[in-house]
Amino acid sequence: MPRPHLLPMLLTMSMLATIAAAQAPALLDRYEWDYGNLHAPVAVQWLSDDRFVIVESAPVGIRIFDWPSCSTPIKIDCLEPAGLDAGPDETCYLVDSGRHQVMHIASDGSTLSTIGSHGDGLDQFRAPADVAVHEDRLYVADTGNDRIVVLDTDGSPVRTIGTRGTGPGQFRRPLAIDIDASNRIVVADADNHRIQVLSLEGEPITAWGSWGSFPGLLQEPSDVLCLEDRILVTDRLNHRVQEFAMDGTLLHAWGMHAVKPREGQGRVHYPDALAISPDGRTLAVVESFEDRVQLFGPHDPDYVDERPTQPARSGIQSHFGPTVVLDDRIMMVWEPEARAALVFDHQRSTPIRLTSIFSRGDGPGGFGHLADLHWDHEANQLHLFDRGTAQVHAYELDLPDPDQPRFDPSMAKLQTSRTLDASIPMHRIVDAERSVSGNWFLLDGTDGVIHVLNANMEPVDRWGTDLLGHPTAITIDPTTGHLLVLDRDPSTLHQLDTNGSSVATIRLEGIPGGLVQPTGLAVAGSGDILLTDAGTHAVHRLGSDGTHLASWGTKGILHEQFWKPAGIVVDDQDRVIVLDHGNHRCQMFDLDGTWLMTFGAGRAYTPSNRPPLDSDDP
Amino acid sequence: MIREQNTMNMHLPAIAISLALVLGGCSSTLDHQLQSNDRAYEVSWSSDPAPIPVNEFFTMDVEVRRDGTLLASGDLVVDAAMPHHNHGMNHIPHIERTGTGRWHVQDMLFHMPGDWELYFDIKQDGVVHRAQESIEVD
Repeated sequence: MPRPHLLPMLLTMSMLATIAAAQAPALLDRYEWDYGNLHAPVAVQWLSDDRFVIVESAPVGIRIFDWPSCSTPIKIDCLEPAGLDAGPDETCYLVDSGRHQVMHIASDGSTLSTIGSHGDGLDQFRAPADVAVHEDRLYVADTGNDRIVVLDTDGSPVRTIGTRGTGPGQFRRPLAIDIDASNRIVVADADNHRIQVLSLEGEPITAWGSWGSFPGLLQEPSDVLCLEDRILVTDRLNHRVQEFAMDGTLLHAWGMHAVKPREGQGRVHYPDALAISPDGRTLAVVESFEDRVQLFGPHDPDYVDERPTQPARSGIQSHFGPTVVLDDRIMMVWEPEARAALVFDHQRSTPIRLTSIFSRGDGPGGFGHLADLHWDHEANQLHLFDRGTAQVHAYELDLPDPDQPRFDPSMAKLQTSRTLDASIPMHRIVDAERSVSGNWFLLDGTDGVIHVLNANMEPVDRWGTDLLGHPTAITIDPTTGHLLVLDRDPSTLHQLDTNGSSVATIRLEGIPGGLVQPTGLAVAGSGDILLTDAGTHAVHRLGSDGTHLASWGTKGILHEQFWKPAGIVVDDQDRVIVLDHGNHRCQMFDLDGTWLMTFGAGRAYTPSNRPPLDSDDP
Repeated sequence: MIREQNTMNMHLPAIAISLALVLGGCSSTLDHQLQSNDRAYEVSWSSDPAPIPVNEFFTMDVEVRRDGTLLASGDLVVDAAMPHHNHGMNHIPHIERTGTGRWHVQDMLFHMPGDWELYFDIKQDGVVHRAQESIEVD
C-alpha cells in the first residue's frame, strides 16, 4: 500500500481548522459516530478533507481514516507518542514522551529530526506530553519537569515557563497545551486540576478550576482545544468534556457516563484528547482507555438521549483500580475518580469491603494522584505514595475481629503526611516497594532510577542510572529477597540485590505475541513471575529465570477476558488477582490461569455463581 | 506562726513550679485531651459553646504540645468531616495563633446531626501529624 503523504494535508488542515473554528457551532455535543477497536489512540488530526489521522500507542503507529474505512497502521519510530500538532512548513511535530523529545516528521511519516533530549536544560524534556505550534515556535508541555518549554521550530531554546507548584504560573503535571485566538498559552494543569492561561512570554493571566465533580470543577484535565470564542477541556476523571468562555466561565458540560465501560455513543470514558474538523462542525474525542475515537456534531435541540444514567445492572459501583495490594487478610485497591483507597477482607470465599479511605480536597492529608499503596500488616500501616501532592501518607487501620468483618467508614486514621527530601522526585515515582529490613525503594519511571530510603524515609542511595530504561514496576522476590524491576524498553526484567547490584537481566523475548505495554509485576511464593500487559490484554507467568510457563486472557468483557489489565498480586494460597482495570473489576485465577472469581466494589462471581453476561454488560 | 511560715516556705517552691508548669504549658485546662495518631503530639481543646450544638457556629481554643511543651513552631489546621456521609463542613474555619502552641478557631459549623470527626493537623518540618476525635452531635 503506498504510504500517503500526510503532512501537506495536515498543514492545510491546520490552517483550515483555524479558520473554521470561528464558524464552529456553539455546542458540539451531538454524538454522530465512533471508531472503535483501535490500539490505544492518543491523538487525532484532521486532514484537509473529511479524512483524519489517528496516532496509536500500543503498538505505536499512524492510521488514516477515510469514512468508513481506515488504512493499516503505518509504523513510526516513536516509543511513546503523545501530543501532535501541524506546523506551517509542510511538516508536523509529534511528542515522543518515552524518549523525552519532539519528533519532526516528514510527509511520508519518516523522522526528519528530533528536538530535545532527556533532562532539565533549556532544550531538554522529561516525559513531555503535548506540543503546540504557533507562528515559528514550539510550545511544549514538559510534563515531568512541570514547566512549559518554548523553542524555535529548529529546536533552538527560547525560554522555559514555570516551575513545580500551585501558584500562578506554576504547574503540577501539565498535560496539554494550546494557543488561543488572543495569542495566549492555555495549559491543562492536571494535578492542580485547573486550566491556566499565560501570555506568550509566560506571564500568568488567569486560571480556573479546582478538584471536584460539580460542573466547572475538574479532575485531572488532559487536553485543551482553543476555538475562536471558547476553550474545550477533556475533564478526564470526570469522564466529560467541558466548554469554557475565554475568561473561564462555564458554558457547557457533556458526555458524562455512568460507570459503565464500553458505553460510548455520546458517553465518554477517560477522554484524552480533542480535535476539530476543518469546517468546525465535527469534534473528535479520543479515548485511549476505550481504544476508541468518538465524533460529535452540532447540538440538536430536538435530540433527547433517553438512555438511563443508572449504573449497569451487573452492579458496577466503582471504576476500581488500577493499583492493588494485598497480604494474607487485607486487599486494597486505589480508585482515582473517587480519590479513595478501598479496603477489603479477602479471607472468605468472596471479599468483604471493610472501609473506604477518601481524600477530601487538597488540604493536610489530602491525596491526589497515587503511584502506589503499600500495606504492612505487622506495623498496621498503610502508605499511600502520592505523585499529585508529592507526599507519602501513612494511615493506621482499626481492623475488626477477623471473625466479624464489618464496614466502618472511620476505620482508617491518618498518622502523617510527609513531604520527602527535595532530592526525591515524588511526582515522578511510579511504584514503591519495601524490604524486610525496612528500606523503601521508590521507582522513578521517567529517569529510570530507584531511590532508596531508610525506614524514616530519608534518602540513603540511588540506583539504576545506567541500567534501567523505562521501568514501570518494582517488587521483591520473596524466595530470594532480590528486587525485580519490569522495564518496558526494551521489555526486560532486572534482578537486583538489596545493595543495588545487578544479579541478572532477563530479556522478555519468549512470550507468545510479545509484550506491548507491560504494566503489572508480581512474584508467587514459588518464585514464578507474573506480568500483566495492558497492550495485549493478557497475563503471563514466567519461571524465575524468565522461561515462559503460561499465558491467559484476551481482550474482552467476559470472565477470563481483560481490558487493559494493570495491577497484579499473588496471595499466600498462590491465587493470582488481576486488576482488570478496563472492566472495573478484579479477577482471580490459579497459577495456571483457571478462573476462580470476578469481583468488584459491589459484586462477586464464582464458577458456581456465574452470571449471565452479554456483550452489553461487562 | 513560725511553723506556718516555715510550712509556707516549704510549699513555695512547689507552688512556683506548678505555676511555672502551667504558665509554661506542661498541662492544659482545656476540656478535651488527645494524642496525635502517631503518638508524637498532645492536643487539648475546648469549644464554645460546649457541647457543640447542631447547625450553630462555635469557636475552639486549641493547644498543641510535644513532650509536654507547647509547640513553639509549626502550623495547625483544624477541620471536621462526617465519614459515614463522606463529606466535611460547608464552612472553612478561620484559625489564628494566639500564643506559643495556642490557637483560636472560628467559623466552625456542624451543619448536620450525627457522627463527626474533628481533625487537628499539626505541620512541622515538612510532616503533617493528625490528631482526631469523634464527636456525636444531636
